[in-house]
Amino acid sequence: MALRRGLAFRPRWHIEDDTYRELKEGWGLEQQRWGRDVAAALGRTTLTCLAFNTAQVYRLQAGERLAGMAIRRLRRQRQRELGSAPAVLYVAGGSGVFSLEEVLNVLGAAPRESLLPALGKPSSSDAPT
Amino acid sequence: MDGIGIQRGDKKSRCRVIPIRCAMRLSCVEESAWVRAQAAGVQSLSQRQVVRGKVYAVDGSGLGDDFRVVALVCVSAIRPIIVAWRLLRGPSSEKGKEAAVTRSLIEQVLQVAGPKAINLLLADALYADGPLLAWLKYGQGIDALVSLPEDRLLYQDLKGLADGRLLDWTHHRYVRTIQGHKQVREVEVTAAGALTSWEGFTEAAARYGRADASLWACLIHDVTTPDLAAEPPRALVSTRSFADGFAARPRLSSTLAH
Repeated sequence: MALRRGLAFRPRWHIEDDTYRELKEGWGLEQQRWGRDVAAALGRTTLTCLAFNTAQVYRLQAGERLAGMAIRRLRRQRQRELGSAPAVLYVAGGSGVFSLEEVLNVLGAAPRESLLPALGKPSSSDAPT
Repeated sequence: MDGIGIQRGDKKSRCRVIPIRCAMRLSCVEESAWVRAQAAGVQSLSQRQVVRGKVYAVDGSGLGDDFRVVALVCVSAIRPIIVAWRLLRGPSSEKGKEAAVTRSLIEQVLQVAGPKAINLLLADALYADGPLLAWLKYGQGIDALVSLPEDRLLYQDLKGLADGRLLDWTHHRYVRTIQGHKQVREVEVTAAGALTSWEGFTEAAARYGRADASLWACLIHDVTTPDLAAEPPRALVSTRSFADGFAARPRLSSTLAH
């Protein structure tokens, strides 16, 4: 009963064993410093922690399902509204991802036909690519 | 980044060209931008409900002699997720500074994940800071469970109560598995609540209008071998009352076990 009730302090071990040890020995955070400059160290630490989190998420059950998808199928499933070949536009320091149809519309040359999938009718996301 | 280098004849230099170039460019990015990147990255995980559970741990670790990372990690699930971190300059940081950093990490997470995102914070003895515990409990509604150093008055009080047989020790036997190897461990534990001999905590709690603030603490004595039994018991202190000391016990670390 006592075992099930708490063991409250035990998860703290995760931060030493599964986090810092992983960051240092696995991700080389301590050994590969990218220089002694503070800004570089800050960037290195931030990028590594974000990458660590991403890897952790992909090791979850949901992450494993996501990792099993090919990139084109993943893009179709996640960004159906953008079509198969979206355009990235950079303007005044900002950026955005748009479907080609949307770009043509904005430029005043509306496409006669659209290759975008019919949204709301998911049908072919499992088709081979 | 291994294997990246300059081609010289048939041999590849081990000189790390790309990391150095990266470092030069990283230096151009302002510190505030990295903090924003951190918050955005964690917010994305939080919105997708990847950060599950409300038990968190905070700890710091040195990166050589120059830097120290302090991180707040969600440790509720099998896979820990780093939800906030800071890079401090210097090989080690004094207790007060680390407590201030801890506050900013907690505030950052509560801002991103909501005011009730954390309900228990685990920390080692470096974070046994009375004002920090009071702020967590009465300022943020977060309980803490922290290692209590032997030199604290609260530890001495608890040990005195136990030595004077005013507290009952209970004996527990359990099996732990480390890297696939099972070990039978035996511990004796005792606990007491309503402890008020930590002025730093009670005075800080009073500033939140809690004149009756008290703490729960336990002693955990590993008696698996005579050598271990000869060592002083380890103590934990909490703003939350646990059923008994065994329910709160840590995974006994290698430093404790050897």
